[in-house]
Amino acid sequence: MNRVLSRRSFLRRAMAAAGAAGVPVFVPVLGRGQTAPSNRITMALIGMGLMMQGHLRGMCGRGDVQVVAVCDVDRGRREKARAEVESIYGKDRRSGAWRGCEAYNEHERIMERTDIDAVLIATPDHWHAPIACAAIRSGKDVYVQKPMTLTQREGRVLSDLARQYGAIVQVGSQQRSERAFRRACEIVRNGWIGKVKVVHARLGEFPPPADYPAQPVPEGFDYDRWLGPTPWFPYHPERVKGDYGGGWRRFWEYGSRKNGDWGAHHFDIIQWALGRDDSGPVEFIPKGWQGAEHQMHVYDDGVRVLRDAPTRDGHMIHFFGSDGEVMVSRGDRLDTVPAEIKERPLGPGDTRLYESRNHEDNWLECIRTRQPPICHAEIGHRTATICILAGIAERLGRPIRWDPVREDIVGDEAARRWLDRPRRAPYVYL
Amino acid sequence: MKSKWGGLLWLGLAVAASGQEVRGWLSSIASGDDAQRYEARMRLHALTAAATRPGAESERADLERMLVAAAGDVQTPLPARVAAVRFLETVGGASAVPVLGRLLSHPDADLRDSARRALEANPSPEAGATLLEALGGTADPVARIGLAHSLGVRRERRAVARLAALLDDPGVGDAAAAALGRIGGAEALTALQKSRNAARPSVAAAIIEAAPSAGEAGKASLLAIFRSNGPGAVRAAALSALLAMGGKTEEEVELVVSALCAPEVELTTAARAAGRQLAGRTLSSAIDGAWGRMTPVGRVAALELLDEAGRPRAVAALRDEDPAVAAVAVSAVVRLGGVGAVVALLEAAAGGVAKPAAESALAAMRGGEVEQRLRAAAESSPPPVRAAALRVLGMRRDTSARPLWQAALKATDPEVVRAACQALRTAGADEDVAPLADLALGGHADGMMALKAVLSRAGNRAEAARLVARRGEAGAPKGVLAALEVMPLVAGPAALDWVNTQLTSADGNIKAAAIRSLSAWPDLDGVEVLWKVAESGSTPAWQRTLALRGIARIASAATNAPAEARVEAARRVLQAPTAGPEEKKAAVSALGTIPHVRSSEILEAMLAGGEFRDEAAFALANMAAAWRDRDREATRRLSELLEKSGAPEAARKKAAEAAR
Repeated sequence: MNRVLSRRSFLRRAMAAAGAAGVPVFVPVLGRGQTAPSNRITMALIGMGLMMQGHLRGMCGRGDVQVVAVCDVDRGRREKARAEVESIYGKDRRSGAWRGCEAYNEHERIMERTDIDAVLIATPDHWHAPIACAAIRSGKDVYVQKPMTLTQREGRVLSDLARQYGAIVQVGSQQRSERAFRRACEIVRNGWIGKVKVVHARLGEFPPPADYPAQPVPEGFDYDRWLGPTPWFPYHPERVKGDYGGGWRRFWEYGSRKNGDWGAHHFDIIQWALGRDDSGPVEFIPKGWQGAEHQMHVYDDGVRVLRDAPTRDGHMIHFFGSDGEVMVSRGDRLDTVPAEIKERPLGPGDTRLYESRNHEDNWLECIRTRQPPICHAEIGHRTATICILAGIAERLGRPIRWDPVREDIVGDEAARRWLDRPRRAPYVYL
Repeated sequence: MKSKWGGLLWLGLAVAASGQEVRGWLSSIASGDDAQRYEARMRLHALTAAATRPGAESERADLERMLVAAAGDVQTPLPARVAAVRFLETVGGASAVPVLGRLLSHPDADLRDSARRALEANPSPEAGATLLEALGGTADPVARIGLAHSLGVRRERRAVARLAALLDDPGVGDAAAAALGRIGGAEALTALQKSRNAARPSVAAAIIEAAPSAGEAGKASLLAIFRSNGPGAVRAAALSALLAMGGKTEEEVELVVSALCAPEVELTTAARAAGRQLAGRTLSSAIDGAWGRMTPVGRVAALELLDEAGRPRAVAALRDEDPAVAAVAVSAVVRLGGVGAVVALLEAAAGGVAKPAAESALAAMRGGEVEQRLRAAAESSPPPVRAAALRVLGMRRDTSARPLWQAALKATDPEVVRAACQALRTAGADEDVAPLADLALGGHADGMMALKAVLSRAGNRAEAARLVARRGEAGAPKGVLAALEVMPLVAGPAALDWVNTQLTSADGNIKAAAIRSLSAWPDLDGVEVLWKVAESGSTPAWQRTLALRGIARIASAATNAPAEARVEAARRVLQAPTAGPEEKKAAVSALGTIPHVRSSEILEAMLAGGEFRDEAAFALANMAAAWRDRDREATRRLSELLEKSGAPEAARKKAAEAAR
């Protein structure tokens, strides 16, 4: 697929307010109906479960995007999604401006379509990398939900492919696009709480995985494809259920449990604050190791990140520095010690971080401008690496030493095998 | 001291496991009891984890032997065999290969594929040979896809010929291509190029992957793809791979620049990423030469690749007709620095499409020379540049520029005055109250905004109040009206006293403005004065209404005041004999913003019936939402109450959402 400038001609508008730091800043997106149909970004939505609900309405409500395909292995879900898209675009269809929305079981059909510019992937984690890699190779830009990949090796491949193929990849660790988190990171980065010593992050716990009795696969549900590259297990609704409190997220086969769930948000922010977006910790210590009360990872300068250690006022992340503290949560909650640094303006020479006020908007702007989005593939990969390695340490019940430059586990050959997972045939493609 | 493994109970159990126990757990995996099956799986997992720890080779070998025995034993129930093979994925070594190899032809597809995966991960070289042999012995397309893939993952060079023979097979061709791409080297590359389907996306991607390990032949193939009319993304990937291989700088620069001039956005994006390795004088010069041929997207990317030699190009791009290019040029000028950077940016900040970006850049630039040049421009330069410098000094909160801002407030050029006001809005302090009041109370809109901003953060509030009052009175009546508007921002006793005196003014407009001023008071100090106004028999009805609404507003907005006092203020409005329905509605609404047990009680009593039942319901719904993060129990209780009371649906829905 050749995407030439005519399809991205609103670069002018999009970049009009580009920031001085050389990174794109938020540009208000034009309301629906103000963008000519030929200039809209044509999009396919893949994985029509829980996470996609907000994305679907958000994308269909925009004037600069045209959703032309949905994909899910559950026929009922994909047809419902198609109906919803068609209902939203009903007026456009009557005017002839829109040709309809296709519903696919196989994502490969989307990759074959040269009229689709971008895909938004909100499948379970084990499908993130295979679909994203296929999309990049077929010349599409990608928004992939967090964590970016199931395995560390998948992440390396995906990030390299994005750079090589010139794709704009945004990873859905969307706390980067929230003001309070950016501000917290700027406070830490500018040294206003001194040298950071310890960070506490609240992830919570899922119920343990379980074995379930085999049940008949429901009509219209392509269970074999849902399992995809993961080992075969008998069908049970609890295994495939989308549920923020568990469902498939409980199982190691499809993710890294809470490390991959909330860890992909909070560890990401900690990486940002510590200026480690192209690097990572050097050691992962599981809870219980030598009596450790908390799971922990450690950076080469001694900064320790403790999972589920207490935070003040229930904050999600709590940075402890030599001269102060920063506490931050969703809902624009930010507190500091001393209190005055919370409002202190950035001065000349202070580090100003990439500003995005909306994660989806930022991705779409970057598709137009071809600038790196706020949570591009390499960032997503480095964050996912932390989630994955913390999970490996937990499963092996022993610490893991990590070389973030060579991206390899040090001194533990068996643990190195866990950096990737052999894929079940025929879903082997990456 | 605790044992190194002491914290992990399951690991201790695992180390002690015997062959009999392993067999027992494996047979439990075939059990119909879910809990028993799960327990067995967890124990085997723990055993595997422990046996693969560094320095435990004999434990690993023991476990491998037990698992191999179970996997190879036809008497072992099938689910247990599958489980044993899956654990061999992490435990297996050379001695597991023969059994796993035999299982590659087992009739059960799951066991077969599990064995293939275990061999893929097996570190023994024999595992590769076994997989290769199996590829030749099966016609099952799914099995062949898996085997081809595993050989690719293992980078089995011995497999190239066999994989090449499968390239044009419709069932397994894509997997064979991907495997050859991973294996790489000249032989794999040649096979891929000879494929009848060399243009197929999977084969093209494999060629790009294989080429870097194929020397000059690889380079030639990548160059051919880059220069083809194929898809932009594929050409971009070829370019990236080509540049990653290294070569003559001139040739590489030519490739990057030609990609920057291409209309395909993927090529531009990839050129920008790859070009970073090449950045230097030659690239800057080539970019300059090709500038006219570049699209805006290409120019944006090119600006990021310029080095010092490209400084003039970056400065010229500040005036590019495309705003995107001009904005990114600002970043380039800042990054490249140099003597003329500040001057060039100031000119861009004075007007043109890059104005906001240039201002932001100047505000963030560090260095004594930057400040010096900005101050010089703010003192004396053409009005647009002077205005830009004044604004930027404000954004930098450079208080040494205060005399320059204050002088500019008296300038004749309106743009300069406006810029000074904007700077003082950001950086003004107590010292600026008097000159700003002179300007603002005379009716200057920008001056008024700046004065409000400065007053809201005044240090000496009493002095600020006196200054504003004096200047307001000097410009009466217009000045007094303006002063009354800003006094709530100062607040405090001095401001309150002065506003109080204006309540006795014979001028009705001034008296009304004083009531409005008190209504905007940030704390409860204004409430008692407003009560006197509301209760006075001589107050006209419309001013009484104004005062009662003001009390309700303060009760709602004075969030720093004690909740009990705020509730009391709202309650008094509700009970005031002179309060009309609208004032009472305002008081009900105010109660809903005060999350306190007393306000909740008042509203709940109103929910039982009466004139303001619906308003009380909505106020309680708001309170439920406000309590959401602080007191889940209270939120749930309010939601249930509203549900039972038959409140309007919207209120019930809001409370229910908060309680969810």
